Amino acid sequence: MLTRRHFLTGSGAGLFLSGYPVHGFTKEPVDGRIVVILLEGGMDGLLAVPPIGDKNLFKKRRGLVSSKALKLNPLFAIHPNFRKFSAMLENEEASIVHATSFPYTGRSHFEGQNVMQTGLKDPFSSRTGWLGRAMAIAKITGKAMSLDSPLIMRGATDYDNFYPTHLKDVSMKFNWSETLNLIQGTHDSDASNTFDVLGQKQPTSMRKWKMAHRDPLSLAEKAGHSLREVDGPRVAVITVPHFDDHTEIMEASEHPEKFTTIDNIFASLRNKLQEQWANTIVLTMTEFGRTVKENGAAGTDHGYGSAGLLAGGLIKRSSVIADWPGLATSELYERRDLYATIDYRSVCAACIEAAFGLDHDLITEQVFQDKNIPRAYTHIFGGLG
Amino acid sequence: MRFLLLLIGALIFSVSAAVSETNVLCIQKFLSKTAFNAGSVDGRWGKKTGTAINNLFDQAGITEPKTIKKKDAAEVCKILQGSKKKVLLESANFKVYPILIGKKP
Repeated sequence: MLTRRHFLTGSGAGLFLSGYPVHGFTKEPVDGRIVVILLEGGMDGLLAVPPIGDKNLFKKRRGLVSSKALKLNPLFAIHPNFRKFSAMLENEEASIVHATSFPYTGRSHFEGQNVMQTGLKDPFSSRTGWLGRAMAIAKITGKAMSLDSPLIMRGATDYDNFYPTHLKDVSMKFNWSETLNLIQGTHDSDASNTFDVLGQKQPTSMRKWKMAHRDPLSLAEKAGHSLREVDGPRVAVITVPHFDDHTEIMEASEHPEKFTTIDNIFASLRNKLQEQWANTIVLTMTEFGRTVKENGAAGTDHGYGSAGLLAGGLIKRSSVIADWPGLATSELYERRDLYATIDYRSVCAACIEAAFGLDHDLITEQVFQDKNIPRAYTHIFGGLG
Repeated sequence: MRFLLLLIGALIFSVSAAVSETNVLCIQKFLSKTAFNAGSVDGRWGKKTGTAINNLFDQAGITEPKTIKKKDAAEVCKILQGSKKKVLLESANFKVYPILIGKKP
């Protein structure tokens, strides 16, 4: 029988606590990049990353475990729609953090999303976000892939937004000649003649013009392009909405389809970032998980613990990081939700440390205003395990 | 004379047992602050204590002693209380489960 010890011996796990920095204000400057994927609505972490080694999983949510889930190790599997992400796991460039959440147990989307973005314990206690504060300290530029400035990035001193107009396909609605005639009518003499010339030079590519789309995948492609530029932004935030599936959660159009979207976003970022992928960490976050047992409508309700997915070249060894609390009723939060045994701010802090080179103590004190956040850098980036 | 020898023997045994219990307690107290659950902190070496300390050493990359048993408690306690105490505690904040897809057994 393959034991954990034998496996580790065979896989060369001799990296004793590597990656510990010299404590100080900052480490050596790091040219890293962070992409945050905000999963709004509360992703079901037990559906995305089912703990198949926990016998209570099948007792409590038999109908909510995909039969095609890919086994990662004796305890965890992953939903089959994360096909590309699974390849990254196999390629040692992705990891999962499970039974985790921001320090919020109230089950309100508004409060939960606020805590997720401010990184502070009390909802609505700050007008700035944890990522923005970290960017300000490290003097990092960023790009929000949204019309408004997301709270998570506020507080940064240098960032902009990208959000395209809603025109999906210009060629369908845009008549070059008619438009030029209309504009020409408002001009005289030389200016009017200019439109005659333009009319004769209608570019053939005009017919193929397509405005960028607003969907998360298109925004991710744009973000990947920007992040790989030498003097471009080093941070991007993308939102994937509508995870609040209270009914029929297993239906293809619900959570599984959104898993595919996340999967494609990871793959697209990897593709567009090209060589900069090596310096990048992409992480998902959601305001809370969902109930362990399915409700009467084949869905799940607002819960507590969930899972976070991470990928990028900054990861050196793939793993699932967890302090598994168990799914027996007595082990659940308020006897209904997966307990969050890892404060997800540990994960965020580790990503900041890896990508910006800031010291953990500085991050916890000035970014999250909580010195008690445990350090997870070595677990995610240091090759532990 | 025989009684005296028995008494000394019993004394040595009880001192040795007490030392052993202290070392196991040292390990259990350390584990109680980590993600590696050793069960009750009672100074008794049980299955949970053995599994937890072996898993912690695996994760931290410490390969000696190969399989930690009760007889190794003093040596292990020395490591836990030594210069690497802080980094060991930090590494034991969470458990790391390796990904086995694509790996040969």
